Amino acid sequence: MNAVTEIPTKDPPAPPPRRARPRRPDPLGPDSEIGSRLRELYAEVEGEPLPARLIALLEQLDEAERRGSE
Amino acid sequence: MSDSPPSFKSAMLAALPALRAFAMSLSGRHDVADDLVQETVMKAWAKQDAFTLGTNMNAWLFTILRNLFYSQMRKRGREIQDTDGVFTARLGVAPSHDGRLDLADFKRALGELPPDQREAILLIGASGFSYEEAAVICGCAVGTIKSRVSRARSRLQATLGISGAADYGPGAASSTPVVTRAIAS
Repeated sequence: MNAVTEIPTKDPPAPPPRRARPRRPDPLGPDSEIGSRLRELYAEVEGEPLPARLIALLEQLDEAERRGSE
Repeated sequence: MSDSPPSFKSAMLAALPALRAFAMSLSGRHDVADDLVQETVMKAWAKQDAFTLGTNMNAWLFTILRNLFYSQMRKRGREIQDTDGVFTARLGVAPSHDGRLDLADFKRALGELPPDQREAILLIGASGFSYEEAAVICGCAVGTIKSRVSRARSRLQATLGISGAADYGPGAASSTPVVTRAIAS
């Protein structure tokens, strides 16, 4: 009676084979010597305190703009 | 209308360290770099309506700064000079913690790259832009950036005698080896 049509078990098709070629690591990524050196170099400069004149300039521009828009 | 987007100033502020580093890599000097950044800030401020908040502020600022730099170079009627090794002149040499490679050697090798290659590899490898963003910043094709980066990397690897963890196959980036214009020693 219960010739149940079997619910096909969802057998997902085998996942597509991963790219045959393993993905090459990002040549400038975190694992690359050159990449990490480059970032190290920049980190030196980026770590320097910003010159006061640049910060003052932004403050002035902002200030001027707020006054001007009133 | 309400006043200007409150985050414009802070977004600029946040971008300044990276912008300075880029300016330094172009000019090779702190004072010139800071002048460039200052001019960029003023210019960007004046043009802020042209900037859409939420888009990549860094890429926008880098583009402005780069244009300023090269137009100044042209006005002065001289070739874009190779700085003496990008940061080498000014920065102290950090000891290498892992002994893999001396940072001073690395800086020297970087300084010996043609400026366009150095710029490309720094935009991608140090500033962290995508190839597409770097192409916009430099006003050139994505493929050009890729091939510059690829040549820069090869030269650095050759100079430094490293292959790195990321030795990669040929042709990944550049389709045609354009090495004709090799080393302007």
